Amino acid sequence: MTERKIQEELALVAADVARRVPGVAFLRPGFVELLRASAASRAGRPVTRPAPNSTGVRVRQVGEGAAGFHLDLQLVARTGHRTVDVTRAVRAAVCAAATEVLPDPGRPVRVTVTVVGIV
Amino acid sequence: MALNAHPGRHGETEGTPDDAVTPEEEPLPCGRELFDVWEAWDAGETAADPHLAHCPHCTAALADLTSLDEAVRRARQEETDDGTPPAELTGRIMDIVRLELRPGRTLPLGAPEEDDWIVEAAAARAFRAAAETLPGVRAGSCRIGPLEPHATGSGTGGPADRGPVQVRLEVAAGLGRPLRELAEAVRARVADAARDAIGIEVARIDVLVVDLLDEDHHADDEQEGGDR
Repeated sequence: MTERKIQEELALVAADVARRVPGVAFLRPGFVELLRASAASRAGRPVTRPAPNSTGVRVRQVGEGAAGFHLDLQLVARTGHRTVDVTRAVRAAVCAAATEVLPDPGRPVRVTVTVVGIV
Repeated sequence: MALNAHPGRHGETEGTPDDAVTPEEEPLPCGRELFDVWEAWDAGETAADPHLAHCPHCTAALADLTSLDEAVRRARQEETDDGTPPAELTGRIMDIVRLELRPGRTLPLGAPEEDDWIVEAAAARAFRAAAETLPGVRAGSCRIGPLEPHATGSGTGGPADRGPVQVRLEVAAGLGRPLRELAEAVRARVADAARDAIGIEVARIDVLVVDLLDEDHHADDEQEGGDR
């Protein structure tokens, strides 16, 4: 699997796992990116749409020799759930899922979770 | 009144050190900021601005926003299982759209060694709501920042930026009880929300009574819910 393919797979898996965690309303929907794409389309400019099903998740390589990965998740939490308990559960679930995706399980994975709203 | 009628849109992080560096500007091809176009729509002022009525970029942006608003309303009509009034939930979701443009600073959630965060606007909204559970209280500007901004990191979300925060909440208050007592009650509600609802370490809460509500306003509050 290429590095790019691994990053895409990590983003998809992370988004899927995070959405299932109780207390997560939805991942950052990326409306700004959608509107930017919409405006570009109307103006006849090239359109770069966000990757489907993984908006709210950003993956990049980090560490010496790009050995590890940093997954940055932005989500909207639900009221009625203690927010920090939700983010902890998301981080644990995403870490577990990410290590299963990686062909080399020894590569470090850092997961950052940011709550951008509560509904 | 001195208070922002819908705090958290403008003025939430007004005057904070982040203002100069973090707002994500999103100019349309015509030069207008997307955020400002949406604000005009929200305030019902689009008809009064000839540019917004005729500019293809602004009208397109408003059309997208209207579609989103309608989609949310339709979804809420089909799914109202949590008891939240549809109009209120629609407002919250539209606020999230705005937050994508002006997220404000990020604040640490949980323990120092963790990597969980919340944007200032989301926490401020929760604190304002907590304060307004008290009768005769209307919350205004709420600013949250590091307790010791000069001792912490760059504000970019690294480990050095993690630490207790301080809250500065402005309220308008009725005359139903002594202001000092009311301020203490507000402080307690905010502290409860920080600990029980969010999980953010708040070391200091400053409550500023910036306006007094008239008796009619206070009477409305008593009718709505009493001392919750």
